[in-house]
Amino acid sequence: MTEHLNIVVEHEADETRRDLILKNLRNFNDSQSHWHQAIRKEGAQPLDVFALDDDGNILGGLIGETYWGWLAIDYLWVVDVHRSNGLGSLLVLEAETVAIEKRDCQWSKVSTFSFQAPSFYENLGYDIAGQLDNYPPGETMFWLKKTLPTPSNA
Amino acid sequence: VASWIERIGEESPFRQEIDKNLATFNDANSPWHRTVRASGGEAYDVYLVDENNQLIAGLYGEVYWDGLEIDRLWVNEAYRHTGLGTQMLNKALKFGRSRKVSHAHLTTFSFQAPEFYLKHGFKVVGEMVDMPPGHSKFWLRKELNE
Repeated sequence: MTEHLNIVVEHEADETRRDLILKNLRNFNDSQSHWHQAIRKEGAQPLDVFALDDDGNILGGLIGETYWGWLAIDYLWVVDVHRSNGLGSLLVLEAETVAIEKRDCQWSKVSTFSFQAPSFYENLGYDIAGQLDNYPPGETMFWLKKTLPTPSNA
Repeated sequence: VASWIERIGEESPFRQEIDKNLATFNDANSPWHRTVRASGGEAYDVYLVDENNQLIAGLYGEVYWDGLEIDRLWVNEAYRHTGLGTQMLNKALKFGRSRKVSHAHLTTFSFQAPEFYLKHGFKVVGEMVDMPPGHSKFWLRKELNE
């Protein structure tokens, strides 16, 4: 079947062919998972929480989105002077509350490196769902998951 | 004194500032992040095309840090289960070994190809159950220096 086929190997990203592979893979995913189909059509919903000082400067922020019943925390950052004083926890808990009460989310997820904040998330009730050791060398990347409580005033 | 801003259903212009600050933190704490941001990884692409240059199968990924990341793998439906996926995967792993990286890693959903990768020596290092609901998202890893 493959005798007239040509294998092409490239060491520079072939953007045209990459796009085609991605398109084909998405079609496959959409045919197998109605969740993928839905998110591709409707998109994920952004959920951002920022803490500002009186002058409007950012003291911390959480950038996330919700889809498939999940809150995905993409980025979390707090200015040096406010680290370890609870601001980060407030940002996460606020995002979780919105995800539970306004987006019907059941779970939350985040990835973090060993030099970032794995224990911070564990203290907030997140469990390790996976880890990639030596990524980067000497460090570990963690995937964390939390099953969110059901709405308090349901 | 701080005030909260919530943006729901709309991306905030503050996102860029958070992205930048986090990148700065990562670069300060991980020389590897600094390096890959400055010089990028090395792309690896392999495609199979027919006589008319139509795409039959493809795999692409990237080598950076100490690993080969496989981003996408796809085979035309008419050619599935003919060994093309295995051939492409082996070529990619060979490339990874030629770059002396210690491992390969990738993600796959339960409705995609976890069994295929397990058969080729990958091990599950993470599973997000109900991602999406009723399915799982897996993280798989294979050591290349064994």
